[in-house]
Amino acid sequence: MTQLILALTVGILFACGAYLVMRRGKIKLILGLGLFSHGVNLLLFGSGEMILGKPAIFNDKANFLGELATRSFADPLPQALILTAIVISFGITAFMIVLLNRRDTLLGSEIMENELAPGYDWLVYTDDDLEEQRQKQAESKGNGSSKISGGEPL
Amino acid sequence: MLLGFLASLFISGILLWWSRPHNKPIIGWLSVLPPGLITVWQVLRIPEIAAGNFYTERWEWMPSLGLDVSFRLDGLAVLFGLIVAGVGAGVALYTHYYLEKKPSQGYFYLALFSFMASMLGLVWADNLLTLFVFWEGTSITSYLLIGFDHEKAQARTGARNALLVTGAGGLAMLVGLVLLGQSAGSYSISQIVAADGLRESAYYSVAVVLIFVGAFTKSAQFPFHFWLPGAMSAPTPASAYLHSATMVKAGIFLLARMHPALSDTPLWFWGLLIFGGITMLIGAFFAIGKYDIKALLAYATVSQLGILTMLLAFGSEYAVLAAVVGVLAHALYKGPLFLVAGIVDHATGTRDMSRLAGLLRAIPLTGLAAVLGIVSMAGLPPTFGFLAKELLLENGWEMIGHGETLAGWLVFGGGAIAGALFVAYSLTLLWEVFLRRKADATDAAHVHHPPSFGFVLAPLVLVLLGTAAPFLLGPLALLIDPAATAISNETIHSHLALWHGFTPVLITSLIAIGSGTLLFLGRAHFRRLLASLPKNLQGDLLFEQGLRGLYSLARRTTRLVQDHTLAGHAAVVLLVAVVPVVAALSYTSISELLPDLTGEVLTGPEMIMALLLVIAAWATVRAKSRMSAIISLGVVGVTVTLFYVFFSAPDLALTQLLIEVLTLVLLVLVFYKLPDDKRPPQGRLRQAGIVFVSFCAGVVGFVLVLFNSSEAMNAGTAISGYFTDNSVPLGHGANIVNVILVDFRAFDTMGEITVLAVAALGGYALLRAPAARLLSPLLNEANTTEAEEMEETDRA
Repeated sequence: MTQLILALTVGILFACGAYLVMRRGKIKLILGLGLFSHGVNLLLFGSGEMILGKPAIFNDKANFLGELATRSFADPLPQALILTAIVISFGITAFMIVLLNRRDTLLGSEIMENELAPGYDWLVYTDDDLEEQRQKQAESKGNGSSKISGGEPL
Repeated sequence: MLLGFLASLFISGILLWWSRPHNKPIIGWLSVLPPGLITVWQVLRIPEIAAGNFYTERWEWMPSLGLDVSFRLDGLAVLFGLIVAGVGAGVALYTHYYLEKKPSQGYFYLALFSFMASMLGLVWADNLLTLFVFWEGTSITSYLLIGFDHEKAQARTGARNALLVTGAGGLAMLVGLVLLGQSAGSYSISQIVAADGLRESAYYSVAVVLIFVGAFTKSAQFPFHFWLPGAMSAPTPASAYLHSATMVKAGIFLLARMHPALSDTPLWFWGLLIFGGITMLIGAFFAIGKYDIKALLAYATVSQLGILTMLLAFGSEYAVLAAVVGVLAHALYKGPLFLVAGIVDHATGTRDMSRLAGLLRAIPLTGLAAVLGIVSMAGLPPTFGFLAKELLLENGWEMIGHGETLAGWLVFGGGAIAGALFVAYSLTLLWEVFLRRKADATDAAHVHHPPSFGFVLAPLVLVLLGTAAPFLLGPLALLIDPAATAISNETIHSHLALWHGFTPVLITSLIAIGSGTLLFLGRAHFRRLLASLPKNLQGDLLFEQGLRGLYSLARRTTRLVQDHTLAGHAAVVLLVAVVPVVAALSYTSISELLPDLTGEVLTGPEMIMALLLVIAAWATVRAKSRMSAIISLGVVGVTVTLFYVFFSAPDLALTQLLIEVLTLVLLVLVFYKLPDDKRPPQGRLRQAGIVFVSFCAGVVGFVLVLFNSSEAMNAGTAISGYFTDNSVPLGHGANIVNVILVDFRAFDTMGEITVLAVAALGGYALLRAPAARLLSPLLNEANTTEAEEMEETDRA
């Protein structure tokens, strides 16, 4: 039962995270990634048996063999993996936040969708675009020379 | 020894490059030494090889893969080895004069000598994989040599086509060679050749077809022949050496090498006969229509390669001897003729036959070399070329006599037609360039730069060797017989002679010469006919179109997969993740994965936490304001923390809580003040797409958890058992999670800390970066005028 509930929860977290990542908006990307990383952590958590109230800690180090024999505590390995994952995802989130902030101060507005920064048009690969670009280049060559000759102080 | 030779060639290439040979004639002469010494060494080996003592060498490279560097000097290897090293010595000298005073001469030497080493390795190799490595080596060095004049678009196109065609063929051949090696159980060529039962192997036909593809691409057989004329944009020494005397014969060499093991089946026979025959005829046919001397010689080479391919279809003594003599004769007349074409180009400034005339008188030594070469190319008696052609016709005649009428007549008739065409274009070349008094074109070219003796020496020596050869057939048998024996795997004792009496073969030969002369006289009509052929059937144009189609396909796929929006990229990544999950589901069913629910009660803290999580996640998605979205995310985080608390993970709960608070603070600090997004919402269709992809992602997450917790996947316990058992004895810690992190997997934690440090450094750098205008190229372009104005005011 617990597994089924966990599965449904993880599924919903994945769906919500994916939806937010794909929407436009200033922080939706970060929120989406946050939901996603929670989902992934819970997914990892589900690989061990979910046991209520029995952490993987020996109460008495001297007599640990007795506890080991029953093996009634939670699986420590997924926990160790998740611990690493939490910390790393925080590092990435923090960096993303700073990066988005930086982009915002640089451009004054968001460019995420269909808009390319000026001067970066060549990033678009389409046959028509390339053809257009060639024409533009040819034109600008003509214009450029006229600009130089016209712009020079007489 | 042999490997040492290859290394010495490579090293001398580098030395030549360093010595800047373009203004030091002595170095041009010194460059003859390495290939010359290798030639002499091989000549000294001939008697031993003729006696059946083959020189072998073997180094283990990767024994587990059957990969050795092994060489074996048998008759065939020494025949090709002599051609490669001998012609190579001549070409090395010639290069110095051809690339007179060009600073890039040293680079050409480096590429040339690297090629020579690859080609020698190829013909000496006794291991299929060794052979393949050297084979690819020749493709690459050939690319460098064709593209030597890389400022010219023609050279670049020619080089690219040659590399693509021979490279693709080489890869096909690799598969064929591996299949062959696997079915023979050995990659050693001498063992494969000696093995029985290869023809009955299940992989036989696939392997043979793939090896054909490799050989046909390399040796410019129809329909891959177009790259060879395109490769003529190489400097003439490279054309003479690679694209006439040596590299294009690598395919022939491979077929000859594999002949004992693979021949004598219908696939082998008809495959080689048909493709070789077509190549022979179209090559000879198109050669007549060319005005460029090099183009004419290139098509003639294609035709000759077709003849050699066709001959290898047979196993008879005549055919094998004809192939061996043909290879030798071709190297000794076509190589020098190319060199002569280069001298003519150098002396007059053109290779256009319509502008040339009477060069025999103007440059007599070059003319002598040319005349001797052309007579052999035409197959007029008593030359080496004549002998090769006689053997070819003899083979056809013998087949007819043995009742194999169809194949026999195909060879006999095709050989006779090709013979006539050979005569026609040879006479055209001889008459128009060297004999006639006046050129066709009004702007006739004149010799303004007569060649020095060193320039003419190489073609002259080679062509004199070729002329003398038919009169020295006795000693030559020492070279020819072992080579023929290696091809047919039966001991062959040739009794070659120029004169066989008045046989039907000789009469046919004479008729071919006669009709060739008639064709020569009527060549004007012939050239007009060839010029009127539709242009869009040319192989290189079709290839170009195919390439362009490939490029545009690539662009289309790129545009489809990367639509330069974040949503598009994310959608592609997520949908790709669906594929393996669906594939895994096809092995089991979802009902098997679902846990048994009978008798379970819906209680417990997990129900409440799950509900809370779902509601908070939904609130994050639907939040109207940025602040409420951030807070909802915080709620999700805290609920997950609770989850960890209940399910025995106190360390996780602690970490998660701390991180959650930090993230929340950062988000609020940075994003609270930023202005709102002013862009229009996404379109309906796009939104529907996003919802669909999100749904898929959700299903993936759901199924993954079920897979992860199913009985079959319970692989994790095996690993964690080690950690629980050894946490106290080895790690001396009671908290197993902590021990794993700081002890057992300490390096992972180290990596994790590194990631944090890098993120912190990056964030710090971004926050401290100077004002936008100075750094960002994209803004610089947009605000150029502004920046300029500012600079001006600054200056003022």
